Amino acid sequence: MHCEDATRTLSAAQERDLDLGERVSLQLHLAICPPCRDFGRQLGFLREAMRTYARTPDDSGGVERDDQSESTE
Amino acid sequence: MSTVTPEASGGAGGLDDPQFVTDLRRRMLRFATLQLSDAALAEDAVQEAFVGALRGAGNFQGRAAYRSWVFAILRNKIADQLRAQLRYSSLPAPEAPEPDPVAENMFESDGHWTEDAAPASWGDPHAALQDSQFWRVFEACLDHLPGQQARLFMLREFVELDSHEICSAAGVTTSNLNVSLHRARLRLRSCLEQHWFGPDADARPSGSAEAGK
Repeated sequence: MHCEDATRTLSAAQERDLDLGERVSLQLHLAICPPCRDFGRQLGFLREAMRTYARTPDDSGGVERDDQSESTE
Repeated sequence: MSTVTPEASGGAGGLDDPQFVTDLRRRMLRFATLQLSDAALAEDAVQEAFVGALRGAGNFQGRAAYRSWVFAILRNKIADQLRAQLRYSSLPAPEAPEPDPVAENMFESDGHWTEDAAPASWGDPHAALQDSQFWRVFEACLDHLPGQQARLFMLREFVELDSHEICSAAGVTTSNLNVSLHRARLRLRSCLEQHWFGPDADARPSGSAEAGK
């Protein structure tokens, strides 16, 4: 397994359970590849961030102020 | 539906502030339009979400709670609409993913990361979730996803449909969905690293960069 495959497998793991073969290949690759380990952690964070975003879309309450021209209809 | 407008409800959840309502409505409309690919349906969904939220408006303390609530309603409206489209089937032909040179060029021909694209460590990224600047960057990165990737990614991660529902509603195969989600994730994490988490990130306010490390 190379890095592109590993990222594809890590992405698939967000959608379904990996089979045994996939898990073994992935773990063997991750053991020797720090960037792919970081990628995997970051996917977990992305999901968490998306959930947070979906529930509290913008904590700042403000959006860019250069859009005020839009009418309120 | 009655003719009640968001402004008419007085103080609940900040609805008496036209700027707040305008901003919120624009964000909702942008999201709904992206998902439904139909301006009129999007307009209806947003309208219904506002009306639905108004029914419970008295229960809200503050804007953040109101915003969460109204977006939750909107997500449900969109999910219902997509399921209805599935049922009454005006399904588009299955689309193959568009070529995406940006995501493809993150890897060498032998499948290894290119030097520029290889992920760096983000440390513990969770502090960013509390930072309003981060959410601006996050949203900008989402906006930069190509159309089809953006739609599928948002269906998966924002509307939280499962893969099966997305494939039916969007008329894509599982394998095409996986390709699009993979690319969207590659792009999104790359964008966040470039603009927020990376050593040379350009959007993070100076001073907060290494705070607490």
